[in-house]
Amino acid sequence: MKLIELTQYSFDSKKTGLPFQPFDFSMTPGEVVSISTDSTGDALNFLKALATLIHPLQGEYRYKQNILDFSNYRNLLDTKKNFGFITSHAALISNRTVRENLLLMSAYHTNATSYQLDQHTQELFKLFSLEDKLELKPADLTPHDYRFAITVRELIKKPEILLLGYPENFVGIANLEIFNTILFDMLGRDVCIVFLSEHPHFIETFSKRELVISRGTLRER
Amino acid sequence: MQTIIGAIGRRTLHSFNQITTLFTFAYQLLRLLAFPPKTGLVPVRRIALEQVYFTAVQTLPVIIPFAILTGSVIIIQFSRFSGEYQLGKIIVLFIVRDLGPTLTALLIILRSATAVTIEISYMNVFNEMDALEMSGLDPLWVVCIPRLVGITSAILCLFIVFDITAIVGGYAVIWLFTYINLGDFLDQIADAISVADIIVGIIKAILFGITITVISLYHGFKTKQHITQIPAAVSRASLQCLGICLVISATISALFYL
Repeated sequence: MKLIELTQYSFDSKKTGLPFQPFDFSMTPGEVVSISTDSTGDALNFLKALATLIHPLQGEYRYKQNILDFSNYRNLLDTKKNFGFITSHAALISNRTVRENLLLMSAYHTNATSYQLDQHTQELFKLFSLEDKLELKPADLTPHDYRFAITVRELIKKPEILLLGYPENFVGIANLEIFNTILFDMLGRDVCIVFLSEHPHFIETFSKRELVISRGTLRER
Repeated sequence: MQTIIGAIGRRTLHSFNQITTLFTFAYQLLRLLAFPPKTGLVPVRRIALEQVYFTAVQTLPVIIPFAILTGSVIIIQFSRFSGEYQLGKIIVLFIVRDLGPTLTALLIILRSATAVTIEISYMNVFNEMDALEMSGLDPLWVVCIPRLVGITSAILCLFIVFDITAIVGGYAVIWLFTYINLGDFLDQIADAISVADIIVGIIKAILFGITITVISLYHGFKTKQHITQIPAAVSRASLQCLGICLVISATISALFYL
C-alpha cells in the first residue's frame, strides 16, 4: 500500500523558482528518497508541498489512499501531524518555552493539564544537550539549540513521514552519527524519509532512490 | 475623469471586500467559540487565561491613574459649568455611557491590539503558524480564540474599573474643591443612572472587544512575507480599531438615547 501518492501534481513555486511541471510521485512505508537539485528553493518547496503546506495548482494528493481536500486548511491538520518537518522553514513558537513547544502537540490532542516529558523525550534531550534549556524561550536559545529543539519536537511526534532539509545543518556534523541511528530505528518502524542533503556520507548511507529537481521539473534518476 | 471614477470604484470595492472579510472572520471565530472542538480545550483555556492577565491585569496600573485624571478633569470643568449641581448626572452621561467604554477601548487598542497584530504578524512571517498546523493544531482555535476571549473579557472588566475609578477620582476632586458631600454625590449618580446605561456599557464593551480582536488578528494574518510589513499592519490595525469602535459607540448611543 502506498503511503502517499501524488498524481499529475503541480504547485506554485514562483517565489523561489519556476512553477513545477505536473509530476507523479509515490512512496511506500519504510522508503527513503533523496533529492538532488540545482535549485535549493525548489527542493525545499517540494518538501513543503509534500507536507501540504503549499496548495496544488492541479493534481491529486492521496494520503493512505484518501484524497486530501485542500479547500479548507482544517481538513489537512490530521494529515499534517503525521509529518516530521525538519527544514529551514520549520520554527518554534516564540512566545512559548521550549518545554511547551515540545509538548504542546500532545497536550493539545490529549487535553493534558501538565507538560511532563516522557522517558523517550528526556533521552533525546540528553542526546542534544538540551536538558537545562527547557524553560527558556526560543529567542534565548543559540541557533544550534534552536535547531536541536525543532529536531527533537519533530522526532517525538512519531511521524509516519520525515521530511529533512539539510539534516547536517540541523543536528550538526558532530551529532550526525547519533541522528543516523535514530533514523535507522525509524526506518525499522516503516517511517518514510525524504531528504535533501549535501553531506556525502549521509546521502550514501540513506539514499535508496533519488529524485532530481531541476528547472521546475521532477524526475527519478 | 474616468481614471478618478475608476480609482473611487476600486477603493470602494477594496473597502467592501475588506469589510466582508472581517465579518466572515468574526463569524468563523464566534462559531468556533459557540461550538468548540473537543481537542485542545485545556491548553486553549490556559492561553486564554494568560491573555486575560496580559490584557486586563497588566493594564490596571495604566487605566487607574488614567481614569482618575479623566474623572477629575470632567468634574473640574463641569463643576464650573453647572455650578456644582447635577454633577452626578454629568458623570453618568459622560463617563458611564460613553467615555468609560470608549477610553477603555482606546487603551486596549494602544496596549494590546498593537501587541496582538505584531505577535501574529511575527508568527506568520517566521512560519510559526505553519509550525502549529504541522503539529495538527488549529491556529484559529489555539491563537485566535484565546485572544478573542481575553481581550473581550478584559475590556468588559476594565470599563467597569474605569467607571468606578473615574467616579471615585471625581469625588476626590469634589471633596477637595466643593462642599458637596459623598451622600449627595452618590444620590445624584443613583438618580441619573438607569439599567439601560449599564446594558449599553456592556454591549459596547463586548462589541469593542470583538472588533479590536478581529481587526488586529486580521491585519496580523495578512502580513505574510516581510518583517518590514509589520509596522504598516500595526498602524492600519490601530486606526481601523479606533475608527470602527467610535462608529459602534455613536451608533449604539444613537439607538438607545435618541
